[in-house]
Amino acid sequence: MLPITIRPDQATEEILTFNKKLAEGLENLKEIDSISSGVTPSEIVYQEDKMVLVRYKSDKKPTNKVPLLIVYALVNRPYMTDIQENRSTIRSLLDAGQDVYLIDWGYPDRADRFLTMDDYINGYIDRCVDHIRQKHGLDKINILGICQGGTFSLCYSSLHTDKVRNLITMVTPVDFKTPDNMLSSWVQHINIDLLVDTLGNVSGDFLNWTFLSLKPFRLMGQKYLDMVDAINSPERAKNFMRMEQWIFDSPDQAGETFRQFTKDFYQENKLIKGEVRLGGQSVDLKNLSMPVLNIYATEDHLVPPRASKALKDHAGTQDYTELAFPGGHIGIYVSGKAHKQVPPAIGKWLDAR
Amino acid sequence: MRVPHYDSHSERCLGSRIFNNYFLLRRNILSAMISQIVYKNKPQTTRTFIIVKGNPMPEKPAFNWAENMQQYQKAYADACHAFLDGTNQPGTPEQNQTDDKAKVNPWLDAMNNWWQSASDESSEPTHDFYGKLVEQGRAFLEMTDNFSTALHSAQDSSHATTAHLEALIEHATQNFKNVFSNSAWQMPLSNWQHVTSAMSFLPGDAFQGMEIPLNFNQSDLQGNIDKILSAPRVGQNRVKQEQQQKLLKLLLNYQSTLQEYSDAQSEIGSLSVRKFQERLTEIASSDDTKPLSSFKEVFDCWVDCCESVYAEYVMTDEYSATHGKMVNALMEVKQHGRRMVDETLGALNMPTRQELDTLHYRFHEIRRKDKVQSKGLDEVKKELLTIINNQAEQIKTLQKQAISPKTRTTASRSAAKPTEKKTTASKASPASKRTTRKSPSAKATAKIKEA
Repeated sequence: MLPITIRPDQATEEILTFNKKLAEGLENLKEIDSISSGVTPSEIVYQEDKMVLVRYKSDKKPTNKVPLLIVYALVNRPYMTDIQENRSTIRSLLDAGQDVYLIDWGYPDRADRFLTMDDYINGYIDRCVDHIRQKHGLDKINILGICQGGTFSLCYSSLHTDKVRNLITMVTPVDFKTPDNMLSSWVQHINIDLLVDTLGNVSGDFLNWTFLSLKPFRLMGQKYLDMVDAINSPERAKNFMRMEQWIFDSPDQAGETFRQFTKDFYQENKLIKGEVRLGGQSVDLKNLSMPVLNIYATEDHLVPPRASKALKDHAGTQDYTELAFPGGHIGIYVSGKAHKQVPPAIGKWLDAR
Repeated sequence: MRVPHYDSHSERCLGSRIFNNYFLLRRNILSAMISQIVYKNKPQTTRTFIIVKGNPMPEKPAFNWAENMQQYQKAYADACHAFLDGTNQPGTPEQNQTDDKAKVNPWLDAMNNWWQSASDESSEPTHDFYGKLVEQGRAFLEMTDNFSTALHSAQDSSHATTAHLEALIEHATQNFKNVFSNSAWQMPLSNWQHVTSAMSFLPGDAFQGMEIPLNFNQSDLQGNIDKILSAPRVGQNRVKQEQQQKLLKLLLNYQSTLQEYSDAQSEIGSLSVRKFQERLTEIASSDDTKPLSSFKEVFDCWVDCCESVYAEYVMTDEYSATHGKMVNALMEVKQHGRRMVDETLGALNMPTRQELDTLHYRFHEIRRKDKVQSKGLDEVKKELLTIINNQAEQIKTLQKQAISPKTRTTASRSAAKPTEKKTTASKASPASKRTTRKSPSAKATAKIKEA
């Protein structure tokens, strides 16, 4: 049998269709002037330096009286959780009866180079938590950490157990040295001190190159060819462009935070050893006594499931729940399937506690 | 949208300006030095082995939409005829390459016309995206064009002899070898160069323009240059010369690590081609696997092969070390360059990066102390407020007790009969006893409250 059986008429038809779609796509793309993201109405309730704490508005009154604070990663921008009308994790959480707050870290510049993980975790996050606690007259609130923000939330919760009622982590690395962790493998031979001392802040472009290089043929090649089938629809073209904008909208990383995160977590895997130190205190995951919901994506190429699932063995809580989503690192926020599954599950889990 | 970093940009521009002439000069000197070395040791033909590619700006033809559409339609028609007539016949890879140069691929031609119009008319947010789309489209059309020649002879299943099958698979893999060498597929490397360009005063493709012949022994060159660059420097500008020597050594080191990285990418390419070949053979020998029936399926199969080879290869310690070496080497170049820029800025009485870093560091330290102190003060304030509130409560209670009728009667009796003071006091209620005992403190509290 021949491995490739393409009849000439089929081939011609395929190429014609390809060109036609590409041409139509161009027309659609030309119409796109600006792309907006962040669709749910919100108000700024607290601000410090470049960091902004926003509270999302909903038509419905939240059924859960304990507010939920989302701690996003320093990598990329948090509007991914609210990227478009029918693909908003924020909107779905509001619909699930939660009172949602989110920390937007902004774009650090060179003046922020010496911001440390201690500044982020015991500084910014703690003051946001205090603000919400005070506003609602509560001792404890719920926290949802995303990716690197999840790791920050783990550190915060283990140091401030008196302020966290429930903790949710999404696609969060915990064990940074699982054998399937490509990022971890690459970073082992990089001289991080030299890198940070040289660059100061680590550029978003550099990080983006690293992330795209994890699957270069798919993420920098095939994806665009697949899009030819989609861009003949103006709406789909715009949605794709929105995602593209998000992918390449990468803030720089504050140098000292990058240094500690990469050395202590990726190179030395100190989190699971209980050796991370922040503000003179040791971060011990055994302190996590509050209920923990750990959500990971089974096809995640950035944070392999094993890296997330390690939390089960290290958290001190007696109330630990895992939720596996059949998708990738980004799909868990933007896919239709995720919107039907993940936010309602979070709402249900929180309401029960 | 992202706020542009004017400070870093302007610094980069300044750095570029300062070093622009310097690097041009150095490059010429380096070329001359290398030429000398090679001239002494090699035949004359290898004398100028470093060729810096020029980047001539092509003249942009005036764009006419109607004409463009006409060309596009014609290209479609030509392509259809060429394909259906079987004009393209399979040949050896060498023949095909020569043929490719001679003829113009009508699909690509049409694509290029589209791109010309798109790049002119597309809006800012879509421009980059469309560029990527078109780049991949080009690679895809190149692939379809090459495949069409192989497929013509394979239309009839009766031709599926072992020899023919092998020829087809060979042709298909050869085709992907060509596609792989296309810039559209050198993704990790080309993107790295883009990144280095963005974060360094060196253009990202600074080393791409250097062509090194296959028979060239790099370690020989490296050794010779190292000797020259390690020669002791004397005289008034000794420090400057040493810095420049060091920079050149670091640049050469980076070039060498970049070459290693590039070699690793090439190996991934070769392994991917082999994997693709194996996959086609597997499909051919299996009755259960469906053959690939469209160009898109062929393309997707190729991507799958590349990704699986890549995923395995880049997880090895060797690759990780190569990757680390390249990043570290670039950082060394950049750090040294930054120091030199700082020295120049210092000489111009301008603030340097080092000075700004020191200021930023101190500023952050002060802020941290300030935040700790503010937090401490807030806590003290809260405690004080609690104490004052508690005392205020106590005073209120005492005042209430003080004006209650029983207490008042006792007090008036005491005033009327001073001689009976002792007796009255002994008969007084426990509350009034407390009042009497605590009266100095209550007075003090009242004063605090008044204040």
